[in-house]
Amino acid sequence: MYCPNCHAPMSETDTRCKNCGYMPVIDAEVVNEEVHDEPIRKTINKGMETMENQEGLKTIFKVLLILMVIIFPIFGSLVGIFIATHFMNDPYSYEKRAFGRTLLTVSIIVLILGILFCCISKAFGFLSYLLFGIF
Amino acid sequence: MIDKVFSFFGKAFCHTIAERSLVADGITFSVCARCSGIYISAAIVFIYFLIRKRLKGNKPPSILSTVLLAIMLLPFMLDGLTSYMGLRESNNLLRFVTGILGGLPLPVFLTLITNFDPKGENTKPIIKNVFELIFILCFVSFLGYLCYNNLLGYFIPQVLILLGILSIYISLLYMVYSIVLKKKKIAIKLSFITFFVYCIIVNFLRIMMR
Repeated sequence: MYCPNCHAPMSETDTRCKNCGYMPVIDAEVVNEEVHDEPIRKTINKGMETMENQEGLKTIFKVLLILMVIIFPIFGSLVGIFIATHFMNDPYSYEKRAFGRTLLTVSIIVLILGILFCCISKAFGFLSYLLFGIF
Repeated sequence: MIDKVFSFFGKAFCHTIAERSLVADGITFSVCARCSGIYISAAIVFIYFLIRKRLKGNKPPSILSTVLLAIMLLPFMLDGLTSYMGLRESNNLLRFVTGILGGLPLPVFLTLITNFDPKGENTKPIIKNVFELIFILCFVSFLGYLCYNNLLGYFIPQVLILLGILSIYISLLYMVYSIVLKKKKIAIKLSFITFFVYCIIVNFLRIMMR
């Protein structure tokens, strides 16, 4: 059996592709048939939601989030941490989890460098205040 | 001798203004009150993770835990920002308390970023639930209280500060290098080298500018 998304090998018992995180919930043959059974219909609807989630995030949205964290380091990094953790908890979309990790990395780096440069700029006086004051 | 080691690392990461630093047994700490709080808190959390075997945790905290961690960072940011911009004058107690709160979430997120695998299941928890987070907060606050009131003397808080500095910055560097290079052994070596080179450069610049 192969992953329908990335074509990596999968075993029959895998609920998620180990390579891309895709969850092949829907059996294509089942989708094509008219289904009257309520539990099966619910499973298919859940599967459709999964497919929608797997569409991922728009690039402009990602860029704006990263810029928000960098331009507004204090509250931007807080919001960034919150959104990143939310994305990382997404069980369906590999793209969201990967971006969540990137966003959390940027937020924590900005936060720690902000603390560091605020402290160090005080020690070095006016010149470094100009250099690092943006943090 | 040991004082010089503390001072070497302190000067690399803090302004070390004496009036803003805590004093224990008649000796001023190597970093300011806010940094003391951050690094003591971070060191205790890292030690807790080490004892509870959570350093390999990769499961993101729940939304409720994340909200609590973000709330902990907020007073620290507000106090630091308003004081830095000259809007108000903070005091050492406020700096230390907000530092303790601000230092606690850092090891959680650093551990998470280092171990989280977007392709994997990520089932090993770093913090199991909100109650564990509150327990850690109470424990850190208690030890912070002991440090602030000089009940642990000079040496123990200073060692915790040093451990906090090492753990935060080496974790941060390791995190960046391991993401960029994808080779853990080289990332560890590079992290230590970068850390010590940075310390030497900043100390050298501070001597030059004296």
